[in-house]
Amino acid sequence: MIKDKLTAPQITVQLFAAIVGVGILSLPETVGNKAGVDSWIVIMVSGLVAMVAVSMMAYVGSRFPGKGIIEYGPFLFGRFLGLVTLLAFLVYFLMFVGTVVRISADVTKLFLLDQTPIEVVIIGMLSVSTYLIMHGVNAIARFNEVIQPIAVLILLLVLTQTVRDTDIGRLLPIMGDGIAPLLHAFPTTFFSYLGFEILLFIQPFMEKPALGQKSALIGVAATLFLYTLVTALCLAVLGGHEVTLVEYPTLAIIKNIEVPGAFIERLDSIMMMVWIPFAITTIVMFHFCASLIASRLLKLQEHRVIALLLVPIVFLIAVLPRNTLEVDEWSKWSSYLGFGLIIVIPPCLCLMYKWKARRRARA
Amino acid sequence: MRKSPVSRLFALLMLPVLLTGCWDRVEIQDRLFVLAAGIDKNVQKEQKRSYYEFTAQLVEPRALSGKVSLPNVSPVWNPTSSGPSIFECIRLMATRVARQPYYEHLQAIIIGEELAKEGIDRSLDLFYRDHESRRKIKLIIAKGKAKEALYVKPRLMPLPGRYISKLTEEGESKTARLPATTSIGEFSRNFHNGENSILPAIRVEQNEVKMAGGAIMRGDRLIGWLSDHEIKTLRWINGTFSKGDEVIVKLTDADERPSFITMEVKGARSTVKTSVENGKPVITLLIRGEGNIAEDGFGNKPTMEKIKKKEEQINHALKQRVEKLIAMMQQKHGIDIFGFGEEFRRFQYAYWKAHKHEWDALFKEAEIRIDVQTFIRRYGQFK
Amino acid sequence: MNWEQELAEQMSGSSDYVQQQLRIGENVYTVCYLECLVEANYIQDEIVEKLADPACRFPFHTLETTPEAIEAILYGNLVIYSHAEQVLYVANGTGMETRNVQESENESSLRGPRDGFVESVSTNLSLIRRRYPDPELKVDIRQIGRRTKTKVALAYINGIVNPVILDEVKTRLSTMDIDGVMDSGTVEQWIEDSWYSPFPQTQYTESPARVLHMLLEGRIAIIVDGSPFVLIVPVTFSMLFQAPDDYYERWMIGSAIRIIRITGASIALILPSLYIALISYHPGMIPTQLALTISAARAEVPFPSFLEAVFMEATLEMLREAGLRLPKIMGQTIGIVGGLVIGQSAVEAGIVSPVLVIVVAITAISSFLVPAYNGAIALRLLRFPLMLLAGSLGLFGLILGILAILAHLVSLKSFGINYFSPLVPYRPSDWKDMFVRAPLPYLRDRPEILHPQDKKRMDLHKRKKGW
Repeated sequence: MIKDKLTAPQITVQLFAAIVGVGILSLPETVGNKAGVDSWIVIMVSGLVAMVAVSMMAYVGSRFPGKGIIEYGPFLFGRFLGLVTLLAFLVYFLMFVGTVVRISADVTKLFLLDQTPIEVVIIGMLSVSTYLIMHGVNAIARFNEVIQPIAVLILLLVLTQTVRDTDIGRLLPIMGDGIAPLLHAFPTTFFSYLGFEILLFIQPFMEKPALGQKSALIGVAATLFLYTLVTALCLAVLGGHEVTLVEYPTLAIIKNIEVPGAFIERLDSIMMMVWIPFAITTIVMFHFCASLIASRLLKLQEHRVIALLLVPIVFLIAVLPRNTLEVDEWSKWSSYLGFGLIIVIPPCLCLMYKWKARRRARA
Repeated sequence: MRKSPVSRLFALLMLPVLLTGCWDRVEIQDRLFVLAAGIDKNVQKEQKRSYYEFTAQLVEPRALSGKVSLPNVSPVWNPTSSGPSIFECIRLMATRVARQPYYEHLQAIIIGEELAKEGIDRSLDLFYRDHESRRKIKLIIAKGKAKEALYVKPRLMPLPGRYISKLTEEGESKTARLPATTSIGEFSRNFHNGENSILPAIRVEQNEVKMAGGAIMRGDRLIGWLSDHEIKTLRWINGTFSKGDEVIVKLTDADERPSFITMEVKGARSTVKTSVENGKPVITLLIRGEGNIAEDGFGNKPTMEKIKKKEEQINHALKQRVEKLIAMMQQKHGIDIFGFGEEFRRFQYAYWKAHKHEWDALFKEAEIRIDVQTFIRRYGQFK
Repeated sequence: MNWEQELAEQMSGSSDYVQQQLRIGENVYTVCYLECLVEANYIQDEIVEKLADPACRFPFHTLETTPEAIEAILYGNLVIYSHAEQVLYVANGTGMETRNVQESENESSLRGPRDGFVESVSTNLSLIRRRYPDPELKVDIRQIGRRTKTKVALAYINGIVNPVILDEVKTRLSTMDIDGVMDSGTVEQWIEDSWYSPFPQTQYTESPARVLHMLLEGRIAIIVDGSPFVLIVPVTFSMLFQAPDDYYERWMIGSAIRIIRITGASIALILPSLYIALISYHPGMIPTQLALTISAARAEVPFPSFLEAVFMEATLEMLREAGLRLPKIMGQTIGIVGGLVIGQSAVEAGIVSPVLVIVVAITAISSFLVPAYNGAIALRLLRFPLMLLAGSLGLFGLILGILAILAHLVSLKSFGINYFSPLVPYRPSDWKDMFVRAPLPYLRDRPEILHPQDKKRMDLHKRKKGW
């Protein structure tokens, strides 16, 4: 009781928090560009793939209770490869945090603070996220447990108001162009699920690591549901072509709502209350995992100092890109890195574990 | 208390941010709300640079509240500026208006006939792009100059912009005499999907603005007008005839006097069935509507037979109107405004994909079968 | 040196120290006491009477050392030295001035017991004991305060309380080393978890029935001599919104009132900053008609909404504080002056807008909805940083501020219990008594977050109806 450990629902919420970020605003646009009206199918399929990957991670993790990839990675891959993997994760996490911070700041500038220097917006977000990171993984988990359900609930409530503008027929035809565009869109879509790999790092903090698999699957499934819903709604409101032209379709369909006669006629202010927490929690999760890796690599007990030292790096990554397109480019590269890691690491972990286990059984 | 130095550091970091903040702070009374905007083509040719003539309707809420009596201040002001881009026009306006124009409350954009004939997409680009605008802003085509619509003095409402936007709302939902697609978001969706749209049209009269049917937009160009009765027919075809209007059947009674049956429509639905026969599109249109008798010119005591007869008369009249409108679009204008192309995309994707660029031509040749069914459900509190 | 000299020397300099010789029959007694703590009549009527009665054996207990004797004197007892037997006796003195048990003013309730604690630890304990005549109610009294040696009693119910929490409380209390304990507030601040938090991490109450309720849930009460406020630990955030009436009244009423309180607390926290953010940064998010109305109302206001709001909110806090310290009748005058005169004339002078006056008034009313005064004041204080954030970064700053407060709240603990529990970590079995108060049958178990030794609270199977 006094000793804090992550509970099973907390893992679910943590994964959800890490995956769902500022990307939810532009997801229908990025996917729609490749897959058109079939975006929602691609999103479901890549969600299922993400679920497979996450269950592999959880399987290996549950075999090493109290240990994360930081400990068992070098054991399974050998010292050198393990180190390389961890470094790759560190670079990827830092890049990811940087781009997420930048994208969130860009959206903030676009919709809320036009004249405010982007550095100020970034500092504001980073100070809240770092403040939370300082309190450790359990406080982060509790924070997510409070904020995520509220945010999702508000988002769903707001989305119900878009139903007036929808025409489900716009989602037709289903797979009119065959399966090729879907395959083509798969990597881009899969990027939106990046974030579940933090399970490799937070599973050791669990009370009962054996429950990790189920909770992680629920977390990814919840994301899948939310993503599919948002994408389908955007398509049904905007249509397959217009969705690719609007920069933030989710925000666009919500700005479209006018609740006649209500005190709050315009719901975009409420949407702001939803996506800023989404963005912040994603930043928190990745930043925390990055500082966890860095502190273990430097053989430190505490992650706090490292977390603080990483802030300037994140800040730099966030302010360096010149324009929105370059931010997209950076985010694409970090996503490719993450994509590579996620596609390669879980099967390798599983195989190595099986191999080692068999060898031990024989010995 | 290990955390305390850290939190103090953050407090220190945040302090300068907070102290020097407020880059975006503009008090509400320093903003000048723009309620409506009119865009015309600049006809004075001497300045080659200026292409648009942009008129914004600025509101002074103080004069509206009635508390402060300022004889010189009127509630609205419609300054006009011209330039090669809307954005330049807006910024140019700032040289004349002392406060910052604010577009988040923009209700309607009115586009003049001249400009609409050349295409409106370019002039709307700013409004798709800018964060201060919403996709829900109404888009209206004015017969004549858009600017004039902003200068009307409506009798009951002090703000012409609000008057016009309310008028479109009411007109759209209560009478079905206006097209269903009225916002720039919907126009943008149609236009970028390669479809044609019908936008609400207005005609300016002395102290009022009259809703005058719809403007036929081929892509983003105005090519003709529809009367309000034609719009009503169009909405029967689209199935967007949701509520509260009437179909009038003119007949003559025994004394050779004209007599009318009026139906208050409570709901309508249209089903479009698409098929391809001999390489040509075939469209089967089934329109179903229901409603009450609003006024009956044929005496009292309805019987089943009477009602049935009236239903048939309404069906017949409606069908004729639908056929007439479709024939007009096929022959005169040659464009599909009914969204049949979208139906083909949905249900005949392979065919549509092969012919999507020549759809309007195919539409001219399309065979359209029409079936109308209406039901009179109630007759009110008097037999 | 004999007893008398030693005592007299220790007490020298205290003019209220009385040491007098009584000759009763052939026995000689020395009676030592503090004049101010013992009534003169009492000595005459009781002590001398008893000493004079030869049949009476001393019913008083004996003492061994001088420090003991001094302590006894200082706590208001009589020390009697019998010259014949060469023994020191202690007789309980009366005459310590204490307040009568009366209804508490700060914690009034519509329904429920009306008696309130007083400044004496023994009276307070008697109020609790009387309601729980069972040996399992344990009271651990210790003296805290390097100089004041104040009695601090720790009350808990053996068999319910979680021993881990109990040990933690005992450890924290035993490490207290401070010169004086004036009120339970001193104890509270020594033993609380985080000094830098605006939120209270213990709860105080004046109602014995409430203390008993908490003890039965598995919490621990700390009673400090000289303070009518009894501390209860551990506490959670949701307890700030709970009042005893919730349990005495039927569940629907209790739940509805709790929801109103929580709504009020959120309004008190964010409404002024939301006003600033919307007025100064995002008027586009207000409905058009309302935006026009507000714009017209603010037309003559020369200040930015941030200054305007801070000015009015600060005035409100000043009025509240002024009304608090003044006698009741004066307090009403302050209310009238503040509410009517300042509000009205500020609007008329065009310094603030009428909309803001409404906002401030709603904020004020909402903030008084929170039953725990220390919790309400925390929320009211946090309003100001939020206003600063909203004034510099608009809605974005406001949301960041709320997230930061939330981050602080979830990291806070009270004696090993998460401050934000039972909401997080999810503990649905405890949600029945959090934001709503579920009907009685659902409150079968004690709060799980405290891990009480005995979980069951009631046995519903035994419930019978005559029909």
